[in-house]
Amino acid sequence: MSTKSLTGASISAVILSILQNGDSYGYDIINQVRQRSGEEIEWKAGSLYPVMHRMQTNGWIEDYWHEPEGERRRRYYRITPKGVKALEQERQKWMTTHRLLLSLWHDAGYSPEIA
Amino acid sequence: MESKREWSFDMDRAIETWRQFMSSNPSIRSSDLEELEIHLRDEWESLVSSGMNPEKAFEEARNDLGNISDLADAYDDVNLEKIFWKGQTRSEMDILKTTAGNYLKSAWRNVIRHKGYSTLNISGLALALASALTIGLFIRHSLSYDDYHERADDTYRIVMDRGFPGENSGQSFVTTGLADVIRSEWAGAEHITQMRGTYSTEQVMTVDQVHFMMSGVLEVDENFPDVFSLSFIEGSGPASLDAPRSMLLTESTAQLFFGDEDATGRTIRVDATADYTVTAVVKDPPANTHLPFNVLIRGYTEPLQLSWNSIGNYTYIVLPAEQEASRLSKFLTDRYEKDNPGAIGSFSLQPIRDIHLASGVQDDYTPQGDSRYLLIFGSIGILILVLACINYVNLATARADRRVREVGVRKVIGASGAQLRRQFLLESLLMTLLSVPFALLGAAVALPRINSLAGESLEFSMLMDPVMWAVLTGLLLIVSLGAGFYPAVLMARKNPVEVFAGSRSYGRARITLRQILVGTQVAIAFALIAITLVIAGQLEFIRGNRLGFDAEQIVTLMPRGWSEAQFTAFQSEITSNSAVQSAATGLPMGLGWRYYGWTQTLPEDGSEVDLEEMPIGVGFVETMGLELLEGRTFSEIDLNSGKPPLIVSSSYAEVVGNGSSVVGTEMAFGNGGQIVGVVRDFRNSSYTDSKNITVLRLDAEMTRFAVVKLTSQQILEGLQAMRRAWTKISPDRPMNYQFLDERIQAQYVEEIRFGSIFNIFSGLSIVIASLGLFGLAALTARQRDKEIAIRKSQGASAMNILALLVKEFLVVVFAGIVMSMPLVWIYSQEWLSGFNEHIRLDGSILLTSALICLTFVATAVIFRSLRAARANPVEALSWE
Repeated sequence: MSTKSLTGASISAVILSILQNGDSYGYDIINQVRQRSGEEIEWKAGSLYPVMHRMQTNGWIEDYWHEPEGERRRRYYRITPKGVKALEQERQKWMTTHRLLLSLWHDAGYSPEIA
Repeated sequence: MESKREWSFDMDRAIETWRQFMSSNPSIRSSDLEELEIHLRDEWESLVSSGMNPEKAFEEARNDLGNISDLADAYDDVNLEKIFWKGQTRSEMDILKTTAGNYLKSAWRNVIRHKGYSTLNISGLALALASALTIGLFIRHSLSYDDYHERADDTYRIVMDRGFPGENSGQSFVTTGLADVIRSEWAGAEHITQMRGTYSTEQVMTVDQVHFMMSGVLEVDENFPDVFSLSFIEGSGPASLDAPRSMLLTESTAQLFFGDEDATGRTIRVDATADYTVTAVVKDPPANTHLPFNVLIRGYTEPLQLSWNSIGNYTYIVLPAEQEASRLSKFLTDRYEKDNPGAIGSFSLQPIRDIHLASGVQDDYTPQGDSRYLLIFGSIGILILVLACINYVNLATARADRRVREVGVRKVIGASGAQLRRQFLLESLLMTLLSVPFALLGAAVALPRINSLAGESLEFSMLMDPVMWAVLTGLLLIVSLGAGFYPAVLMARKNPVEVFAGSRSYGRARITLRQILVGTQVAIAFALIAITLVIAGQLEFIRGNRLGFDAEQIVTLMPRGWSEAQFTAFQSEITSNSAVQSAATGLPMGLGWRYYGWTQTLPEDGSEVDLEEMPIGVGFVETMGLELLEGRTFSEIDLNSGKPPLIVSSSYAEVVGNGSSVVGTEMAFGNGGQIVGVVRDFRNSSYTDSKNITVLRLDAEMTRFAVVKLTSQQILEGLQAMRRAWTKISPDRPMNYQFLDERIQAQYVEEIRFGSIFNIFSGLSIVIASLGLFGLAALTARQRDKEIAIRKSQGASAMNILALLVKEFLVVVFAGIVMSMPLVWIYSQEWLSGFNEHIRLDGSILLTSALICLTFVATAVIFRSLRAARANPVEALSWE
């Protein structure tokens, strides 16, 4: 359950990170998240698209319709310079949290791999 | 064959149906829908290629997208954000419309999705709003008395205080001839007018040989229209009372007398003695006046001699400035003291707008209101609103766990706390708004009933004024904020973690808050029930209370202008009939009428005693049934003896006699005289001190008032005998009589009104509290369906379960009752102390109230709990 709530907080950071690696569309983003999380995190399409919408209105991402050879026409998203800035802030936030937890867990005797 | 069946599923048609369904919701735009469709197709293909049945794969993929309303909500929230952050693409108005529209849509969905819950809430709110509106109307009406007069702020009634003991010691029936004294000796009055009459006293108006018994007849001087605002319909305007024998009618009286014909110029005979000519017709005075009338007749054609001890006129004055009022009061008081050295007496000027709520006199033309009652009703209105708000809060928080998923989803997709708070506040506003039509309807239906019960004249149309609209709007905001604030904050605070964990929403802390709220409701309901019982008990006590005389079958008469001999003739004629027991002259008792008062200094210690003196005739003590404790009553022989005899009340004997008998002692005060007897104290009014120090003086010439005692089974016959005898002496004047017991009852009209209104609203508040408790019991029972089911499957009986559910409520109910008891006690004592004699406050009233309260709560709670307790455990457990 905590994974879920973390997901709630991290959703825009994850989307921006995926888009920084290359333009993508909703269905593909969900697949990437599933695969990268070792099938631990499964996003619901019903939650993802509205969030994408909001990120678009924030000016972090923009959309375009594209039909690659042999595939169907899809709505692709790309990260904007403003989105890159936002991601950088997110990254710092998450890294800080990450370092904090690592240091706490280190004191508690866990090795970094477990974290 | 197998593959053919598989492919019989038509993907394109399924998609088309889905598209149509989704596009029915305006929150989902076409580009979004296209994106969702592509996603659906991708997912479907992926599932089919992994070997799933196409139809099942479609269902799976579709469910993965989520249901339409959740999706729509999610898009709504995101779109709203867009409006807030990137508003430049739309006009302000569009933004406002869309924002409000989206919130409203969401709120409305919640209202209609939960009909039972909404019905409970809306009916509770509607009842509370209807009560608050009615009370608001009552207060506004009471505060508006006499403010319609053009010179309302500069107009005063002259009030005299002759030092009579008691709370309402003033009198507005003041010195005869006072108006002329002010005119000639005190410069500075703009207008003065004097009048006499009592609204309830009926006079005979003869129009073309038809007799009408009219109440509301005021005898006025020509200055009446200068002081009080009148709207003339017919006739000669403000000058219409200038001529002697002129008369002014209200519109409805003119209609009664003459139908649609013109009234001006017509002649009306008053009391079969004098003809008056109608010179004008005015609009009926509004309901908010202390001086209503049907007929104004011109009197005061002769100048009045100043006579300080003769009262009988209301005097009103218009002053150019406020400070003149104190100057005039001082002048009148000084003038009185100069003419009456040693006598108690002071004058004051009372603004006419204060008369209705703070009359402070006992001889008002019509019974007036009391500002204390206004305060009480205002408090009840607020308490009722508090009850309704608590209902809302309780029901909303009890339902919180059922909405926690909705909140969680919204949060995850980015709804902010502020947005959620707005959403929930809007929901409570919507609920309150929905209750307004019902509240207005309720008020419209209730007003005539309240009017007839409470003797008020409130009209629904009074609601249609800007002040009441402002009040209504204010109430709406206060109630929806009061009701919605806590649930909104609570909901918005919900951690999305709980959403997915599916955790129960009620923690320890909230149960405590709910208990406080329910306890408060019970405390309010209990307090209102208990106070209702105290009031009812006291009113019953007043009505049945020993007056010290026997008011039954006593008829009061006003044989104005009769000589002593004429009255004696009347007396001997009627008493020869067995239907009449006795008759005597004298001021009727129990009505708070005073004749004369002075202060006596006791020779022993020099302390002062306030005395009242009443002139009575021979036989008065017997007729009124006063109890003679010592000495004798007056007889015919006393009429010719040198020293005027006196009879005193037992309090006088106690205070002045100081242990020894006062019979035989002489009184050097007032007009002097010798005490011949002592009667038991009687009550002259509900307000006078319990010690009633009165001196009854034999004065056979004072024939202005008389009392006649009839035989109980022959009332009608007795009245006929009286009328026959009356006609012999005053053939032109009809006999005007009233039954004393009825008049005494009429004095309590304000208390009785108060009791009736209090009854209505305390009843309503209990209904509102019960509605809320019923809903709360229902929700908590449902939340615990599984717990109950498990307990039942473990062998608990329906009674065990019931006891479990009811126990929790009972603890809170008892706590509420105990909390409110001291306040009830203090308030009741306070209210009762306003009466000289009152019921003793004891535990039985509190116990009865507690029982009534418990019955209501138990009915509400047990009713629903029983259903939960009886339910089949299998159903509850097989829910998910």
